[in-house]
Amino acid sequence: MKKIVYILIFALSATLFTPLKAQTLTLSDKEQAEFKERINTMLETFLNDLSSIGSKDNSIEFKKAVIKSTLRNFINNGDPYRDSSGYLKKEPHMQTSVLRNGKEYKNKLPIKTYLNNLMYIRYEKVTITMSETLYLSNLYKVGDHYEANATYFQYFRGEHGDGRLYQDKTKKTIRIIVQIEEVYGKKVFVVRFGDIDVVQTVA
Amino acid sequence: MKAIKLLLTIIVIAGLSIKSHSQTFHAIVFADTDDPKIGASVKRDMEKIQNEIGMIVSSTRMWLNGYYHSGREANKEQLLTVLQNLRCEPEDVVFFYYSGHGGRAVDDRSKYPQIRFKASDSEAYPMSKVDEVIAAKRPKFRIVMGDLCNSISDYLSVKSETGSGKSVVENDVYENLFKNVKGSVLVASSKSNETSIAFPDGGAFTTCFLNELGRIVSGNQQADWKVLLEKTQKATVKAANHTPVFEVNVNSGSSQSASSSTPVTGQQTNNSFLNALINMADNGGDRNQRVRSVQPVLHEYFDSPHSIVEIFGRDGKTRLVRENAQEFLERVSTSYKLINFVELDVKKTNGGKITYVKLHEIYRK
Repeated sequence: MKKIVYILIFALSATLFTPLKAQTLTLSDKEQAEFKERINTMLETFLNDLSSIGSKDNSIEFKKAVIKSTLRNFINNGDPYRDSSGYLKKEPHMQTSVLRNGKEYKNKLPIKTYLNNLMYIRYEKVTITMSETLYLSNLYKVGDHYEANATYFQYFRGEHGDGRLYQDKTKKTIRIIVQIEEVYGKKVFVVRFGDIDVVQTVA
Repeated sequence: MKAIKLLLTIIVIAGLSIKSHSQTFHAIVFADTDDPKIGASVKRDMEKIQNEIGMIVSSTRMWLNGYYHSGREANKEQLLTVLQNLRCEPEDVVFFYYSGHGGRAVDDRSKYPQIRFKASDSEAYPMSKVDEVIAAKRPKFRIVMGDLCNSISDYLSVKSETGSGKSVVENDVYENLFKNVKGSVLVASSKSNETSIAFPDGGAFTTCFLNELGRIVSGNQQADWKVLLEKTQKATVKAANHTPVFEVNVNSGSSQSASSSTPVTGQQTNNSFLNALINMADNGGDRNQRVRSVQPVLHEYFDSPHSIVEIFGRDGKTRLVRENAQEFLERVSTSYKLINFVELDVKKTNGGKITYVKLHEIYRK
């Protein structure tokens, strides 16, 4: 009897502590390559938008138009949103970092606030570019959609009017939210960005 | 007096600017998309060819005169009208493409078939005659291409290698094939007494041709019409067991090509809607003007801000983006590297306002 009890306890424990397997979406090599290209394009466009917003060469009118268009790439246009269970979630944020005297200082801002601040950044010219996406995770199911993470290097260069220069290189991750629709028998990815976080900044 | 001088100056400048745009690429495309058997396959051919034409003019910076006729408009009378009204300058390029039924009469001497709109003998017109008529207009370079005499084969297939993403203008291959050449190319998808095969995703010949052209472009290879068509011929025989026939009479010609340091931009066309989009995109225009043109373009061309715009990939069948007209125009007006567009399908109200448009976007590298 004791043996049976121990076996039952063991079996129950095994069930409780078996890690739950996240549901991942399996893509073919071609779909994976296309998805990665799509993310690269969206990121490249986004970083160019940041350069446009930060540049004194562009009018406030143009910068506001760029911000409006950029925010459409974010979940709920950069506003707080309800998830599939109805819970209210905070708006996506942008984490920035700056190096001062060899030390890294980080800050998180709601994406709308970050973009509006960027319009009035103190540099004469801002250039933000990226390397190709270093890493793109699998797509894993979360509620009624899928999510992935992309990691990339961002190169920031800020030029003051008097010639002073600030530049750094930051490793960032970005949360990617994907709705998958079937259109003409093919999977179509509707992609939105979520939070953008800093992993590490170097000079 | 001052006003008259000013008016004359404007007239002269307008006249100069009309005449001084560089070479024109006349794209004449007829596709029998209404045919109950092969119509769907022909439609795919047309979409892929239209996208390819978009890439050609984006890369070569030629002005595009597009004459696209499908469905009910793909008929002999329309073909004769287009050919009759075609006007060419000595530096122009003419690209004629047909996809649909074909055939030959018992006493036909030419190795090239006759176009047979609606599979009807009364709607027949020889491909060699198309070539003759276009030659008489004396363009610098002409291509007459037909994917015809098709019959459906469900069990055979060749994989299209056309990418499903956006198009990116990358190198000089299109210039070397379409702009910096003189002469003619005449090609049909099968030789005398052969049937051409249509796959669900497009004609065998058209698919093989675009695959080979794509390989040359993406590999930035030496471009040569004879080699391109020999490879196409080989691939078509392998995939569908019929042999394309062709004649290549091409020399390198001088042209008014811009230097390689000139930025790649979208070129104007005879489609005013596409011209409006090109002017709004990243083609060096004033940025504030680009943004301010959103509302005027929206009211000029769209039925409402909620009219639907779908962006499809290079293969014409992968939907990349679906947005409303307002969002689309706002995106285009602030876009980066987006230079040109191909209109694949459009639905309009009776008043001519767009309710739906299917586009392909072309970017510079």
